[in-house]
Amino acid sequence: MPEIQLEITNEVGLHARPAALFVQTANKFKCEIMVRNGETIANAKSILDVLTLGAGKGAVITVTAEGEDAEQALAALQQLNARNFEELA
Amino acid sequence: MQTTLLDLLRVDHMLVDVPATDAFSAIRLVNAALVQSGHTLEAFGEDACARETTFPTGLPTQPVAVAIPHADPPHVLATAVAIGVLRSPVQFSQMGTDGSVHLDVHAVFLLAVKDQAKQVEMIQQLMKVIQNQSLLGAITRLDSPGEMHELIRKTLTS
Repeated sequence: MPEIQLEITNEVGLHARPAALFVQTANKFKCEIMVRNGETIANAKSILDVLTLGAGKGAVITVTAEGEDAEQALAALQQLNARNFEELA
Repeated sequence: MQTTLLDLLRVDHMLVDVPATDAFSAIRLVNAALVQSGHTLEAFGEDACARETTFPTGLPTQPVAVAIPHADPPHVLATAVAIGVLRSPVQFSQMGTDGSVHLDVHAVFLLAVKDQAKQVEMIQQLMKVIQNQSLLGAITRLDSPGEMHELIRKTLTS
């Protein structure tokens, strides 16, 4: 199963707005996507789940995807993080 | 010192029977409690309304949907959380969607966070409250801010 690790680099971490963008991006794909921050595991397509991750700046989250477009989904989430979730950081 | 949601709970920041007619009036009416106590300026309510338009904050919680409006710190004087239970539900768009998914929101949790670095932590703590189904079910049936304060305090300390 494809897996990537993302270091959250934007100043405020994965707060409400980035979390919303993360979920919105994940929902563009058919595959199942899970995110882990420490011991907390979330369904990347559920905003309620992702908000419980508590991933602050510097947190390293692990994202796994399973399904036909898994690689594309992980690439899209990696790009979103690389762009600091469209925020000035 | 770490600020927890528990530390921020105040009876005068809890409102029941809020006569909101739409999402924006709900945000403004709940913000009024924070303005009254000197935690935010009226402009914070406008900031939160503007943010709601571009980044909706409705959440599909059970048994009733809630919203967690918020905005950047410039018009926050001190970190606070205000909770308003609405007289009748109003529509908010669902967070994490393009705004096309609407929810009938029964309660608004307005977050005014002075130190943005604390926002992730505050939201994580708030999720503990709003994902508690028995609490959310009970909150909409309460008659007084005092009862709401006690119920949330008990949930956070249990």
